[in-house]
Amino acid sequence: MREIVKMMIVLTAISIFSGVTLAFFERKTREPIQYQRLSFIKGPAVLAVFSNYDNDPIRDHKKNVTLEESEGLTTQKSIFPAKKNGKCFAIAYEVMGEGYHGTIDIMVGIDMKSGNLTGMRVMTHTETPGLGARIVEPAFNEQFVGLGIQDLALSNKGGKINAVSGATISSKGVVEAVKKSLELFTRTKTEITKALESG
Amino acid sequence: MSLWKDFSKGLWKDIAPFRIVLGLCPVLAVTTAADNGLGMGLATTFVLTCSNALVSSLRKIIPRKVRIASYILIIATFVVMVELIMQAYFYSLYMILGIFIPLIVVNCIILGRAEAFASKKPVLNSIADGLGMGLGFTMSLTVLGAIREILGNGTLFGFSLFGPDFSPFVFMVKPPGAFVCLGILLGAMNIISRGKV
Repeated sequence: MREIVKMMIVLTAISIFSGVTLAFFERKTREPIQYQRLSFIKGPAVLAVFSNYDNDPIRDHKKNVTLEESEGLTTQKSIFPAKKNGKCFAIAYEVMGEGYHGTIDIMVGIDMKSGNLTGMRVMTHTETPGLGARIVEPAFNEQFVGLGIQDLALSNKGGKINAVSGATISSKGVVEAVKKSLELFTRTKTEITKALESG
Repeated sequence: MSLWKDFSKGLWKDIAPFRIVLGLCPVLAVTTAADNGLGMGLATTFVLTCSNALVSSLRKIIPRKVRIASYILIIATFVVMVELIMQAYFYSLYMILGIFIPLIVVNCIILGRAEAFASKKPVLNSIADGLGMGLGFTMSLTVLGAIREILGNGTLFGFSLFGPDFSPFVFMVKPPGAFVCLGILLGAMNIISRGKV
């Protein structure tokens, strides 16, 4: 009995040490990591979903804009504006989709006037290499340009997106997340415009 | 000096993965270029040294029956630390090494040294052992990475060595090339060591 108690105490103590140390480290590195993600992953994705802009969407981006996803459920997003001659014509933000094997991080670009997509880029994912991972290829993401909510479904369900062959679940995950992002935009367009106009 | 011996054996006599054939998995995957090998080696060295130090200082407290679980907890903690540091300050290396950073936890060298050495020897010796084996491992990774990079890409640490007329032996940067290169190096090390003795 003494032996078991000692084992429990030692393992618990080591776990506590581990937890505390890592929580401390995570907090310390949170900001640098966000900055790195912005430069290496989000930045290029934002620039890739826009065309014909003359500002710096990354420098002009607004952090932590609160948007209402549904009744009583809010989320915070960073909004990246694309401007031409000082006027914002499109925005981009990040959405998460559910793939075959984990979360898929997606950047969507949305035209302010029509609410249609200006572009889509998959930023990070853990899908199967050679199959689901092919959602990052231009052949897949180019299909999304210019589409509206009504077009966003797989072609075998009446939509305009051809899934990556052999990766229906990954493709569907992306399509559904992008569709939700457009629905969110329609719902929160006024809040987004307000957030961009404020200082 | 026993402390020096504990440190230096990892640099040649017991170098990983050529003399002590442990830790082969990351060796093959990350040695596509010299600086990838270097980065991976240094990350592993950090984890190895820290975990050796902690395991050694707790060696009289950890009960034998839960020692493996305890060692893995300790090793995993340091690996997550390295992962966070890499994400925060060396993001391009982090993107290249990818999944092999968390796999440092199951790198046999670290658990092997914890069990075979750190659990039985004093802290300073364990630190020396960890540093020595880690640095030896780093050298091996960097050399292997350099060879594969020079032959397979015509560069070293990113610097182009030969002119634009060099047609690279691309086989070398692919997985089969890794096996072949590792085998040749292992054979060469065996010949050299035999000659010495």
